[in-house]
Amino acid sequence: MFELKLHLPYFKLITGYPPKKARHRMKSRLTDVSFLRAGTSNFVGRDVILQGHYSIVIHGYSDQNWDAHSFENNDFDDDDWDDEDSEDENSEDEEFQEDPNAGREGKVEANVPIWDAREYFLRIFDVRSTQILQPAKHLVRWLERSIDSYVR
Amino acid sequence: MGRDKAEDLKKIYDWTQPTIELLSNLEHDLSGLLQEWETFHSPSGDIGYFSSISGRGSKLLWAIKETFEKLDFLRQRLVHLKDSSRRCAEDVSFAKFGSNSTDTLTHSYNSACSYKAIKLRNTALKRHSATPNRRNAQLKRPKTTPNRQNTINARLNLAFGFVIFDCYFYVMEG
Repeated sequence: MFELKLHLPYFKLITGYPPKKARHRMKSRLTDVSFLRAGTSNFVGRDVILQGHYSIVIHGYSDQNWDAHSFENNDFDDDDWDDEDSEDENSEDEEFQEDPNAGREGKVEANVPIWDAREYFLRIFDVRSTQILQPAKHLVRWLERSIDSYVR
Repeated sequence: MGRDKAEDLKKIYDWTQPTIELLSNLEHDLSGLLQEWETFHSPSGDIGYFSSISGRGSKLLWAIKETFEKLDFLRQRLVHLKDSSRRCAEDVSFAKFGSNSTDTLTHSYNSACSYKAIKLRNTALKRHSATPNRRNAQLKRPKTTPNRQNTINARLNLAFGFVIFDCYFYVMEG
């Protein structure tokens, strides 16, 4: 019997976030950073940092006999924001069945399974860590731009 | 110090506090994640369970390692931002509670804080003084019995002080 676990926290900057959209259950995971916005007082909405978390547990009896369960508190509706063209993209890739453990744009083909548990774990680890890197880069760049307007 | 200027300083000071707190929290969380990776990746870490894996698996491990190196670089940038914000908070705090404007300016000029305002102030110094070295020497000159020449120099310095001071706060308002 074995068990592989991965827990990844992540941060995502959302600009122009309508205050009314802040669902009650999300409020504890949102940090309002609108005070860092400089020179754009007419900008609509708030700037917030969403703190999320992703976990996956793989357990089984052997490398070839296992189950995977993943969890993500991603109750933020991306469709309202940056995935407006997702329907078009989906229609182009009707044949591609994405692995839900890899998340959106994970580029992991569910119909081409990875049988080895450790390799599958590393594949999901790679995809998910890349997914947290991109919003982290975006956030740090935004912070640098915002703070540079006050400092330096 | 004028009331408006004092309010501007207060605004900047009030801005630095949540900024530093935010950067500290982000750095703390990112450091925690990186520490977990280091533990996993250490010679005695759980990466040992993957020692027999090869081919695509080893490439994936290498890719994950690169990703965490990039995350560590982001953490360093957060630390740099936090340090810059701290230095500015110290300078603004000094300016806010400092004894007089001349001391404030001298302190700000000599401090490590890299304010855009201070850069502009340096520009103002060059623009208004044909001999900056001589002017600096005058600033450092110990007090002596005033004569006519010294009195003129003192007035010039005071004038510079006002020019610089206004420029400094103009930038703060911006």
